[in-house]
Amino acid sequence: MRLKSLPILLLCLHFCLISTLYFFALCLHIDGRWVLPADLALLLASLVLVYRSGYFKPSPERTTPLWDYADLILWLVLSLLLWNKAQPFALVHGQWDAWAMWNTHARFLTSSDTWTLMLDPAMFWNSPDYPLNLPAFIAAIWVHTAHFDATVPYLAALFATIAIPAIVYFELSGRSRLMALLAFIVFIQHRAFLQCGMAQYADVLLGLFYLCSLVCIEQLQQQAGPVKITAFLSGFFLATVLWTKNEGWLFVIPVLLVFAPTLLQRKNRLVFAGMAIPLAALLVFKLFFAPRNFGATHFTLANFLNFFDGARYRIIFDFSNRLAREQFALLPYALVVQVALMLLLRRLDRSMLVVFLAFLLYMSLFVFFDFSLEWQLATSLDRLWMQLEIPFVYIFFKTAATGLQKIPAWNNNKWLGKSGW
Amino acid sequence: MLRFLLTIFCFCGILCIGNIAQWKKIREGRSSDIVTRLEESIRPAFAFLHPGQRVFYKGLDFAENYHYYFVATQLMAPTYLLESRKDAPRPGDTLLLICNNNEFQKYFPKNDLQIIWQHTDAQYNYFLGKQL
Repeated sequence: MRLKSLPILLLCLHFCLISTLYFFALCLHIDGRWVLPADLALLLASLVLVYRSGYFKPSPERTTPLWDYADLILWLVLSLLLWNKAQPFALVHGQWDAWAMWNTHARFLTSSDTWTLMLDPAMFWNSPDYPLNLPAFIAAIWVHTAHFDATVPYLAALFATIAIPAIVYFELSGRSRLMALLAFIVFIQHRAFLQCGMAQYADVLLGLFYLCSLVCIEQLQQQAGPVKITAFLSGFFLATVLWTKNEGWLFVIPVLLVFAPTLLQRKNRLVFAGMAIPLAALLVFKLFFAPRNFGATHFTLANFLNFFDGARYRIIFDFSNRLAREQFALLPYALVVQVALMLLLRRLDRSMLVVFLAFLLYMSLFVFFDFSLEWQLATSLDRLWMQLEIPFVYIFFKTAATGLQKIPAWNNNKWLGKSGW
Repeated sequence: MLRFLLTIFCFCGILCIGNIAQWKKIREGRSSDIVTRLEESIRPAFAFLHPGQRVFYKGLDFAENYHYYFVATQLMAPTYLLESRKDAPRPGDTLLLICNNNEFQKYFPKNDLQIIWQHTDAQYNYFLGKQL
């Protein structure tokens, strides 16, 4: 099965390329205005590469061109519906972290002479160690247009909010159009997702890159379609996760562990070429500019004793319970169904394992670090869950679609089966 | 291939529609927006600063007024560095002050602030000064 969401994945790749190129331009004191035209040229080059890779050759699973265009029209209508539902949550300058942190970082990054002021100890409240994918993208457009337009951070937020359901929809439509449609409706109806997306935070963007990397790595595992492109994209998105937010490590480590047999194959060596660009930007930033982050400054061996403190688990459990009831009402039921489906299919989904391990690592941080636990949970737990819920929605409906394909009556049905809904 | 290009085109089209709607939202909400109001108030003060200059922020009550500090920080970035000073200002400090009429006298009873620039809007007084 080929990568049906490749057009959207390419746009995601260029989102990150703009930010990395802009960051390198800043470091080298090169005029940042050339970044957008250069990326446009790279976009055209990548289209040529996709064309030459054989991606457009008719594939065996292809049904009729009519279905392809019907998918496209349905996606367009659903995306407009999603935007219509999300737009009321949009604020001019975004929510707290957006204007206090991400957009402020972007402002500093517009000046190649004084951007390092951002890293001054006086700005400690502003988390200057955060990776620069989102702020550098915003800054690149601000520099190109020579205007601090408040629509640019909104544009970045909208990009992630509509790209996520688009990727899920296109990837699932190859398996079951019904499941693709249901997954899209989940995003449209998910108030917390729309709010978080429009808040101009980097969390939904991080969730987007989690999704992109899992989609590409799964494709790489199947060795279907243009393998070189898929391998490059897998590595690129995996490193982009790190270039977007610090907690990206908690996702990348499980991915490297679970998918090591796929990623380390000799024929997939382009994975490492893909990783090189965002990883180089991250290393330059972390090694030469960024101050030590919260984790590094608060790490002591005594913290390990917190794992034996039952009160911390109780607080986390109570808070998680409340959060699940208020914002993620369907999530506990979906998890039960997911486990049941995996047992029925007798197949452990590796992506699900990654999300589960990442979830455990996320939650262990709350236990480990000595900070005001209630405050930390109140300000970040919902966003951390949102990051992982994004790939989970894809995994859940993918598993459900696989389950449906195992039912002969469903699979052979003209309307519901593989070539229909 | 046509479908591939159409997908990219439609995706960008949704972004454009969203951007136009947001631009209208911004235009309609300008007068009540704190960032815009602060920008109009303190932007002229920047003419009295040189690039890279460190400026200390003093608000009437930092805990109550913190959002002004954060917004002012964003407005002054990237050219200047705004730092919150909760303790007493020191001689030579350049200060950005946002306060009401009563608070100014409380902060500077000895009149030891050399005012470089001053502006007043419906809610607050804005000062740029040098601590003597």
